[in-house]
Amino acid sequence: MSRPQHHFPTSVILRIAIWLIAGVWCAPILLAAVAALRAPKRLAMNPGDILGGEPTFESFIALQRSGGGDWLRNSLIVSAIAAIVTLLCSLPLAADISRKSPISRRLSDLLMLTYVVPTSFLSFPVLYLAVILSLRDSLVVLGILSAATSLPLAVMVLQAQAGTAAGQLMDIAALERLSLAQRTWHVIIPTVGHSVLAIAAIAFVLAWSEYAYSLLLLSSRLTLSIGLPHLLSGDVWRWSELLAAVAIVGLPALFLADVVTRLVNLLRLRQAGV
Amino acid sequence: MIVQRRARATWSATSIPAILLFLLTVAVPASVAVLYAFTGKRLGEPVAGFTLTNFSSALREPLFTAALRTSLRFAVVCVVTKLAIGYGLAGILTHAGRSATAALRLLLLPWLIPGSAACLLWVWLLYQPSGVLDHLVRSVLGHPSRDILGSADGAFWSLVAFNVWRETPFWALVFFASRKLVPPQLQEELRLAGTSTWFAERTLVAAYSAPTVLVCSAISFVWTFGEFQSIELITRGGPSNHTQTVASVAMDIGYAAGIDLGTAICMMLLTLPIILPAVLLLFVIAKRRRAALIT
Amino acid sequence: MPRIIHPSKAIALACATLFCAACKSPSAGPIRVQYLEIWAPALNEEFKSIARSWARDTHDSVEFIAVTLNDLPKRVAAFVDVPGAANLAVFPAVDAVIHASALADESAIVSTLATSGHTPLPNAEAMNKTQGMWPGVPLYAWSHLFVWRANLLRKKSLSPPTRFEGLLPVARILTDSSNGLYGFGLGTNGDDDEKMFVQSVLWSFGGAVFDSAGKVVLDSPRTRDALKYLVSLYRSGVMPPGIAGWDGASNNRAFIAGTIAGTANSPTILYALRHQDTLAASDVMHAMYPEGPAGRHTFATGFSLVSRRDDPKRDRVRELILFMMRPDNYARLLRAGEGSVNPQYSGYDTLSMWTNPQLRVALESQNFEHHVGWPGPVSAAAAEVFQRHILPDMVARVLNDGFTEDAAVREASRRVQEVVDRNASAQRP
Repeated sequence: MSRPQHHFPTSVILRIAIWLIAGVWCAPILLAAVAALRAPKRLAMNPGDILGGEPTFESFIALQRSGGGDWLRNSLIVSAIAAIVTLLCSLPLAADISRKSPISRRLSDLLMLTYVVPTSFLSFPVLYLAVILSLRDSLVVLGILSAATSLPLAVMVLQAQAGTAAGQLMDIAALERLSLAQRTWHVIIPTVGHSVLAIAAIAFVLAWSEYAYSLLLLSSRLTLSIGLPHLLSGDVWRWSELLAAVAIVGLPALFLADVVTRLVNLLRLRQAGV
Repeated sequence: MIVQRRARATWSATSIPAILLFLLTVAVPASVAVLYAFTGKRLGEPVAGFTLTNFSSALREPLFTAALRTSLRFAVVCVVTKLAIGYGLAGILTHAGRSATAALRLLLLPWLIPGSAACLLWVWLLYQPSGVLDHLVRSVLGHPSRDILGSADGAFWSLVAFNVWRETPFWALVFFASRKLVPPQLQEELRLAGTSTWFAERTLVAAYSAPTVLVCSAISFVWTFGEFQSIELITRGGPSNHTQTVASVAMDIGYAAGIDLGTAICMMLLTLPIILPAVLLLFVIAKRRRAALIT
Repeated sequence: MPRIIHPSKAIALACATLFCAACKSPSAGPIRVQYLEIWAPALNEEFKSIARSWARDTHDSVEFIAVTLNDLPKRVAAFVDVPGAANLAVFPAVDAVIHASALADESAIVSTLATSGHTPLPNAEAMNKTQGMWPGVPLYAWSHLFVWRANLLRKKSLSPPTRFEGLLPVARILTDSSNGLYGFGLGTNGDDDEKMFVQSVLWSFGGAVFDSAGKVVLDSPRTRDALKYLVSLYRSGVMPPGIAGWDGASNNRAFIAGTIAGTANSPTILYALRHQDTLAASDVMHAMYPEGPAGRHTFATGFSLVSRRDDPKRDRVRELILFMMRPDNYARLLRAGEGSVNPQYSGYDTLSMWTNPQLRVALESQNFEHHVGWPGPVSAAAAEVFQRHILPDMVARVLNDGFTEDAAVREASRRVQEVVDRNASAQRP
């Protein structure tokens, strides 16, 4: 939508409103980041007292000792694999659909059935399959499973983007006898490049929140999803390490937020014809 | 030069990865799970003969009927709230100018952090005694806060609040991006005609956003109905089973009791009549969009 | 887009990959040991250390899978139903009984231990043995006790109640809700402590879920008496708000934080306090469960080492179990638990830590402990009734859902009967 012309007070009010809303919305995360700088013993006694005592990095050190670094690394690996697999599967299928392949269209409809079946329903048979194939405790398998959740959404988004325009351009490129690399660089990337990045981001985010499969499939290599609940189990809950974990994962989250908002802006500008 | 596009009846083998992914991760496991439901599958034992007793067991289980009501209520309340707030936020973001992008980054944080971290963060906020909320209430009012997670209503609305907090930014982002579908020339015409921004929002923007809203509603409903992680981590289905959803009851019966996997999966299957309409809606909208693009 | 690979070749490649992956020899590879990550880190470490010693001595290898209490049900299910999920696991004894048909019969190992002078205690036998077989080798057990803040009792010149009728008055005197202190605390959300507490109260009032023949007898006047008592206790104001949302460790945390003066728990609280600076261990007192009109009865929770009967690594697993249960190694394990777990075999009550009177209570409590399903036999139905927290749900129906005691007892009885009927049709033990 083109930028509307507002009178001065309205746009200022809206700007103040959106910043207030954003501030309140992410306040729990910011509070956690601040509280993570408190001494672990003080947090254990009084987890709600966010500001007391001298700041310290003990919580982060304790988290690292508990394996937080490994959990983060494993989560990043799983998410990256999920993003790559989602793109590898969705791009060709979307291209096929845009060329009116009826089989691919049926397949994309079938993919919607993924959302009928909750992952908690599937986790047990999947575990069975994974054990039979000696693929248990595998981050790659978890990444592939996570990709299945984002695949239908990815195909839907790409279909919209890789529609007639891309199809026509591909036909022109074929007539001009451009090579695959030239077609990829001059046609595919400019038309669907932003959507590809957006899908990768979404697949990444969905994968690193994956819980049901991780619970059963992973045992020695934990991800954040199942490692963090270990901090709040038993008689003594390790609040300091949990809050340190929230503060740390906020950093890649901020980076992702930056990527996603830039992509959205680019998409909006593109659609505005800018 | 307009190039005539030929319809191709051939199918490219490059779709094989998608097919394999769907087969191995969804179709085959779902078939196995359905097999468990229609046979007397119990943990540690081979599959027995065809039977429907699992379905009658599921229907007779008092926790199941209560969980079904809770799941439906949870999904409807969450979806309506998320979409209303998300749509409103998208409107504010559209009219807020350059500030929108920076504020959007902050807004997205709850959606972007891992689900477990978000759930446990809320446990920290609501923990009784001495969580953040309790500490705040004590310092302001001088007495402890009510134990929100210890009351049925408090626990339910906490889960709703969490779900809305976590997922609304994503939907706001989707609506914000989709507002670009509105043709600029139509907006310009309305502006020149002297209509207010609010009128444009109510008519033009709403009309063009409707398919996106419907798709998002359907996806959100399915995901929220099958929500498991937040219930497991924040309330564990309590207090006294008041926040048990179908997914959590099924996990409880299938795994915690350690015996009745068939009945657990039956419970999930019995929710299909509720989930299928939402997925069918997705199908229909996706098809119409595809048809609109191709013609 | 051009074809990258011919479909038939792609499918053949995929099948070949899957076939190769599946072709690994099932009896090779390390022994995967699934252990319970309990409240005593030293016990967990000692458990792993003993297993590693075996691996070193026999030039074998072990891998460990840590399971928290919250994840235990799912891991148990995975172990039972999925061959290869793990080779050796620490299971709750009730789960070993439920899944006895999938587990190896460890009678030979138990006999070997008995011949070395360490026979299973009567309780261990009652909890673990079913239909003539031992589906698991008893490892350790928790006693359920009453845990009190001795300093608060002393301050008010009180002693732990010896009868259930005395619990409420003591708790009332200890309660100072204006200062956030409550006399007693236990969840009503179906956690393990509540399951054990409610079952113990039921027995102490003369009620039971099953009779000695295994018939369902829950719907009885004595059950109603027990339920009335529990409801009056929970509604008396001696418990902190929010107990309806408590999990299995909330009472522990509340005790450590000073919110409650007493609770029902295993000796794990003392263990936790000894390793923290929050409260002096001398300020904690263990007491036996009080008596009810039908005497003193408490619940036994045992844990066993189990393996699958179809496990190709069975021989190696058997050697590992025998090594772990060797008297010197078993004693090491118990010592690492610092009295928070009880031995399951005779001859270990002479270890020096049991001279501590606080820990001795836990050992002596074993004389009053019963297994799930008592006075009937241990059965899959009884174990399922316990695991599905039908008794705590019965209490919750009255407390939270407005049921009368009659209606709650009838519903619970019906649910128990359904469990029994379903297990009977499956011909489970």
